Amino acid sequence: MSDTPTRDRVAAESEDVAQKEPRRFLLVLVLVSALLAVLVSFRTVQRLESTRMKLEFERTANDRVRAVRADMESYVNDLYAISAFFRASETVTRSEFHEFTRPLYARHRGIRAFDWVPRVEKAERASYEARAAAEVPGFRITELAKDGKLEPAAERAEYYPVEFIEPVTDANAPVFGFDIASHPTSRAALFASRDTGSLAIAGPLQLIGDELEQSGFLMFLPHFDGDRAPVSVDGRRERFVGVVVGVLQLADALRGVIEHLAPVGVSVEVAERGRVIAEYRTVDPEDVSAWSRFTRGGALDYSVVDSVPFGDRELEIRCRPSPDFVAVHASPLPLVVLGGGALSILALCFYFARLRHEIRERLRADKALRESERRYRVLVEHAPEAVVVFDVDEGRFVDVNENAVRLFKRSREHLLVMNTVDLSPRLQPDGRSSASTIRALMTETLAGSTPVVPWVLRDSGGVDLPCEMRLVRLPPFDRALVRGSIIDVTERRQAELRQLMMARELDHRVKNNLAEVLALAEQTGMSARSYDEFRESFAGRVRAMARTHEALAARQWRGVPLRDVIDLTLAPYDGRAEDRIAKRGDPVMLAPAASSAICMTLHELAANAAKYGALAVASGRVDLSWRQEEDGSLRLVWRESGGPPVERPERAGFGTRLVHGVVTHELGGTAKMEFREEGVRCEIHIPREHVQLDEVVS
Amino acid sequence: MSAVSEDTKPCRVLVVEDNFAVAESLRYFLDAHGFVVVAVAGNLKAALVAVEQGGFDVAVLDIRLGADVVTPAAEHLVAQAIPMIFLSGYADADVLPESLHGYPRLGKPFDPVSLIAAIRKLEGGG
Repeated sequence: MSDTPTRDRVAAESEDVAQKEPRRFLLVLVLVSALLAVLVSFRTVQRLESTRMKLEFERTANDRVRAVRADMESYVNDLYAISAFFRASETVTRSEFHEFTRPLYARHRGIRAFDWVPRVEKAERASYEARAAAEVPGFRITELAKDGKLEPAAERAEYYPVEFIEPVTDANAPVFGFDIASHPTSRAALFASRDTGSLAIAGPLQLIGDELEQSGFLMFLPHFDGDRAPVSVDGRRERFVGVVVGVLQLADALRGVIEHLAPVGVSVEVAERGRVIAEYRTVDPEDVSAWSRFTRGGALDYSVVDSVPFGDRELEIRCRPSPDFVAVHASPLPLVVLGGGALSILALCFYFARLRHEIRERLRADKALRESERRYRVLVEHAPEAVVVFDVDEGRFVDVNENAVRLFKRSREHLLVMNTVDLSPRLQPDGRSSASTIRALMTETLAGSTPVVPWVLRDSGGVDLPCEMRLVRLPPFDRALVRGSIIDVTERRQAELRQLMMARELDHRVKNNLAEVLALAEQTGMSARSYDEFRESFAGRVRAMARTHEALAARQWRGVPLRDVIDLTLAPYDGRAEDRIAKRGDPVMLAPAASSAICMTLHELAANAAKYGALAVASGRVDLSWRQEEDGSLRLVWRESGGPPVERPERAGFGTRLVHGVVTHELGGTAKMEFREEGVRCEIHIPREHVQLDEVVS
Repeated sequence: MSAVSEDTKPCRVLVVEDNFAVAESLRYFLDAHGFVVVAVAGNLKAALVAVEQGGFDVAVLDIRLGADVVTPAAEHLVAQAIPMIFLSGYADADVLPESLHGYPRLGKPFDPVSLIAAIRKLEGGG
């Protein structure tokens, strides 16, 4: 596990790639689908709307068609009513005609006038005119002159003058006495009604007083003498007495009918054989705006066409929608769908954008979390301490690192079913029970403190491990998790112990050295003959001690090679010429005590030689040789030659005693000093406990 | 001041000290104050031999003798009820067993006056 952080990372990154963000093209697909759905909905609603509008229009148009039809019918009926009135009465007076027709024309806006036109023979003309003039002053039978003015009618076999006319208006008044047979159109209809014995209609024509419209109709209902209508044409011609005339302004009639109905935007036109006679429209249909076309899905091209019987004629009625129909009946639904859809898509886009953002953020956070987890895993696994995570509630470890496995010499699996008490001796060194102490520590740690305690643990081999344990509570805080960071302090303890021992050793050596220096000062002082001699000898001895100390310290007081001791000690005397002191011998290692003893001994010998012996003159030589004996002991021989003749001193000086004493007293060896004539010879023998073979040959 | 002045039988002293110069110094001072230094031992082996031979009234013991500690010799002296004085550096005391902690101890380097006084005290007590 510890050797694979790189592999972990690579694996985790490919995992990241696998767990991708939501695919963009999917979102686009959804958006496009939504857009399509909105458009389709819009078109559907638009089409439904169109259908509804069309039905609505047709219903409205049919209402109008029915109304117009009824109106036209009623005109004819009125005419029949007047006709019946004449038949029922022996004579109809002008005022009776007035009273009878008044409600009729008041009810029908399209009626310009109701007339009674009698047949007047040529012979009766004068008397007729006179009778009529008594009621209508200036009454004469007239006809239309070429200049468009009325003039007295020419001589004819018979006349058809307008005798009664209602209402008597300024427009209608001049018509009194007008011979309707004098005008070709009305004459044709008049005779047609006489000959057929039924309703005849003339028109459309321009009525007097109408400058623009040619939508006037004259309705002729014939009147015959006798109770029954004659069955033959000749009979009808014979008994024809007059005609009831209705003057109809179709445009006015239409206006009256339509305006009477609820105001909806329907244009109505009435035509005959394709020729428009009257029309009613609020706005020109061509003005239906482009916007209306767009929202209603095209032009309002629907219409209702039907026929209207009018006497013996057949009129055509055409209804078409006008823009105000749109205004009244159009529903905002298609626009609502379109607008709502657009808003929905916008909302969807916004939602997707948010969603993507959130998912991205979440992925980034997850990734960061995973990375952090991996980082901390490596931190824990590679921590120099043993790290364990203890679940206080479960009473076992839930995580341990590699160092814990190493420290306790137990497998990870094994450790994960154990707890701190299992890994500790029953009692800690201070005598407290491990179990109760650890309980108290856990409680303290869960309360938020971070104890650092010395603790003895026990590995699988039963070896007690002095440790330092640091506890801290771990998140999440809904669980009772405590991390223990454990350092094995065995080595630290040993180092501390070593340090203590070193300090003691140093103390011992310093005190001993001071004692020795003091002793040397006393001894030197007693044997010295002058202060200079004292100073020189004492300083030399202290320097020799210092050199030993230096050599020993360099090797941590573990012993020094004899050759080093010799070189160091003799350096002050040997410096002037290399060949004055010949040194040869086996590589031998000296124990600390022997190192200082040999140093002091050689120093005394060399100092003595420099003062009185071979080293005092230029020709003098010293031969220093040593060897390790069969029994491991060391034999060292100092032999001077070429110096001044030697005399044996009367009594041993301190130097001589020092040589002897150091070797015998301190090392348990022997030192034999001979004052031969050719030079001093000193043979030193040191027991083998102070000697060891030089392992490192320098 | 001399040991001889009050008694015709001078006080005999065993010196155990591994350093020759220091041992010589001790011998000189003790001689000078009328003590008889019967033996000077430089190592544990020599010390044990000297203790075995006996013939002394007081022992002055250096605690550490090279790599050895003077304890075995001291324990023999305890057995023979011979008074002793330890010479030691401050930290050396720890290497002595607890049974020997009650004996007088002088720091190194020793002060001759204190040493003489200490021996006299033991002599008087013994």
